[in-house]
Amino acid sequence: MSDPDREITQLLRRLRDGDRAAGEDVVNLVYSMLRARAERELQRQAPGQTLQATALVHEVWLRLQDVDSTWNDRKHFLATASRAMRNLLIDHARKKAPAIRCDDPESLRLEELVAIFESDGVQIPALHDALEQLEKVDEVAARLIELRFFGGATVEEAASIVGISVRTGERRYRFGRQWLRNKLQH
Amino acid sequence: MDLDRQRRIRDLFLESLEQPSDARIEWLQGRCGEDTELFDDVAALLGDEDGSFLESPIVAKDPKDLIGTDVGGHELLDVLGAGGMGIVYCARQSDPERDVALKLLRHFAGTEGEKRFLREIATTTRLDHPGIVRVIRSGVDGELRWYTMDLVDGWPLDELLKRSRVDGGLPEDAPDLRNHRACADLVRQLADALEYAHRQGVIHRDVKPANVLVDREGRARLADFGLARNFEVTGMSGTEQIAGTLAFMSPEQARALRDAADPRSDIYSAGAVLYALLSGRPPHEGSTGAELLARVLYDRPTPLRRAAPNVDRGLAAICDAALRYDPRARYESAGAMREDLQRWLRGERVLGRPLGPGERIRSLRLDRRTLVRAVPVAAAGGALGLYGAVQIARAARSDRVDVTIDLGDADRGAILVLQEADGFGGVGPPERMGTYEKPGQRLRVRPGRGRLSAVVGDRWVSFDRVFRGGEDLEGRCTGVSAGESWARVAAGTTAVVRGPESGRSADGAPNDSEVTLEAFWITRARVTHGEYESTLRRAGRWNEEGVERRLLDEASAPKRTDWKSLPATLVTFLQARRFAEMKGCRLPTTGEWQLAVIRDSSGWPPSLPDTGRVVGRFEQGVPFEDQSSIDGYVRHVRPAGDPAYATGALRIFHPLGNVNEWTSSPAPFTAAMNGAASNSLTVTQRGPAWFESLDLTIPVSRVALGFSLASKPHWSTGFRCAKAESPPPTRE
Repeated sequence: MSDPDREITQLLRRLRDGDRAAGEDVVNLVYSMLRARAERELQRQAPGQTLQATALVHEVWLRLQDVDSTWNDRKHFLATASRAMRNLLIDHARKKAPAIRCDDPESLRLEELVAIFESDGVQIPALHDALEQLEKVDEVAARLIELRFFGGATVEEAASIVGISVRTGERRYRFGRQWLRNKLQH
Repeated sequence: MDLDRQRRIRDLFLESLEQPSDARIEWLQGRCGEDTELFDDVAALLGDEDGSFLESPIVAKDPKDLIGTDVGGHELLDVLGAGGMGIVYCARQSDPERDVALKLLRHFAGTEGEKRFLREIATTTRLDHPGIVRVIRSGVDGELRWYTMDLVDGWPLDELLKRSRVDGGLPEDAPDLRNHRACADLVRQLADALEYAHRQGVIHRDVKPANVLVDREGRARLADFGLARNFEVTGMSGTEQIAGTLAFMSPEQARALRDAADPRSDIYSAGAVLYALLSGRPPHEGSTGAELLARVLYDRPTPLRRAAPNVDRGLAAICDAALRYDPRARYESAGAMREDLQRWLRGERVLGRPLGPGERIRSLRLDRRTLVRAVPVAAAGGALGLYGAVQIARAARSDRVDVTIDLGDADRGAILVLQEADGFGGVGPPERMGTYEKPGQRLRVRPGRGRLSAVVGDRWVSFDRVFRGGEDLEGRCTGVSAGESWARVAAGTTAVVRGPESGRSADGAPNDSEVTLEAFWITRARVTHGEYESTLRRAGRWNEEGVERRLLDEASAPKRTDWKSLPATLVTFLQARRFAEMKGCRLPTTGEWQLAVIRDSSGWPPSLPDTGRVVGRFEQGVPFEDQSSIDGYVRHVRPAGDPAYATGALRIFHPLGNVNEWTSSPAPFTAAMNGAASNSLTVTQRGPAWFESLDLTIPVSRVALGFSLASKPHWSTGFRCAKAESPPPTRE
């Protein structure tokens, strides 16, 4: 297992164990991966390519998913990583002190991440709050949303992680989505 | 929120999904009865569902999936190209019916991407020029943001370039790129379009063959203003990294200095396009992108007439004038370039921009200044003064001085070689000093800065010192195998600030200059605490009660489990140097360290402050204020196995680590300078430059360096080892 893989594993374990501070390390990790990815892009014999950090994010996520093997189980990974991503985004989106942000490469990377997740017009803090309410109404639905939106899981995967049938998962997910939409768009 | 009620709503929603869709409302009415409010709430949820709501940005879509669908009244027919932010389709506009090019914003582009996309639309829409692809319409269709452009019946110039390299590869009705007049004419049109855009206040910033569309009549059109910036409104694109394509990018733009791009960057790129058309290759190439970037940043292109001897002198002069490294030496406007191209096409004498001697110097000066800024040099020269130069000059006047050397017993017979060194990476010719016979052997060396090496077989050790007499040199000729943990840095040139070492120039500016370095090796990761401790223990040098232990205890209070894999930062300069010498290597010189950083960070230039002044926040890219404590160190420092180390070409630069590094270029700094006296020895360092004090307290030196007086000294200076590519030649 290479060092980055090991680091991811450690981070995700810490996150799983409830260490919110590990969220910050995830930032670094995602940032490092962006950088690594960009560098690979450069290393490859394709100097003609344009670098677009934001466009690389989903690739980064794919890389995170590649760590699968260290988890023996993609589901396990998704379960943790989706929560990690949510924590990461909300922690940053809520962070104030914009004055120090502009020079801090870490914040810039995060800024982009947040922007990407907000590209549909749903603000992360609002979504987070609504999700917390939804958790009270229907914890399963909220978890499905989290897995799907923040983790990129399919309905099948999300249902299986939560431990319900795909059919039930599909309906609970639809409920959660409609409920949130009502909440956020009205 | 009434949870019970909400849950009831959920149950009804889920149950109603079980009903046939056309019977749901009726079923729901039956279930809700009089409770019309409940009915309304559930019905609201059952209303039209939006499948794309909360769609994860993590899931990538295939651009081809949209072929055949309708976007804003356009049927997508085919994918013409896909970039990072957008996809360009060939599309059929329904009313009036015609084929257009439709650019679609990628869904994961983010708000930043959307802003850029909207800016691109706005920018291109207000440009009306035959040499610029025209925007027809724009709009939003559901989640899809799009705009349409004229569909150019022709080819992107990069494709023509590629095909022109193959005999008969060019399409019959395309301009003949082997004809230099045709090439000059295309670039003339390009310059014309750029002149127009610049007059409108727009810099394209990504001029390259792929963004020039050529039609069957030989007309060139500039496309893709996605990176364009209105240069009167700054600050829009502060977050971008390297935007644009390296091979055609101006050095100042590649350096990604904020606001560095101006119209003259486009002129450079237009020159690069001309260069590529005439010689078949862009001005800079590299087998890897990192290499390419380094070339763009630090090299000059091969003169066109050397790359392509059959190019007419006048045309080559135009190309070279556009490609000048210093923007000020280029054509002053795209219009001037266009006029020169016209002159050449008419067979008249071109003006070009001859590079006078004054401009050559200016160009080099600019180069150095920006080079220095391109790495996190914290302008140590500024505050530290003149003493280094004075001391060394004094020493140089005196006779040879005695030092003793101890290489242990195993390396008897090692050949001793002395070289002058400037501490920045330059070394003089080797002088043989005899052989090593016994521990404690005395040697008479030239005073001043030098490098003494002991070589036995393929093992050696080097001592970088300012010899004043009385030094005890102790090390081992262990040599270092060029294994995984070492990175080779190819020979190169870098700018260094010589301020404290050699004083300042007459006008008071920091005395920076270039050093040319031989290839060398440097460790990929900093020496870790674990390595430091175990090496010292093995050598019997670990002092349980000593400073190492004390500092370790202090720093490891909020212990991290990976503590031993963190860089060994709790060492003074002397400790670091001794460690390196025990390992048979030495600390890197300032120039070496800098060159390694430049090379290593070339894949991703960090966003460094470009204000030209010292910014306290940045010590190798690290915000310092909130880390002036050991806690900060523990929180932010990265272990050697960090992904960034593992993936960087040389694994050296890490913009998030807060560890400075010792280099071997001390600048003696006396108490008299600061009017302060003390009794402790300290060496401190800032960025890649550092200075040594024999009699300053830590706080005084810290203040002198601009640190605030924290309760704990800031010891987060780590180090890595270096060695020459080969031992110095030992012939006399």
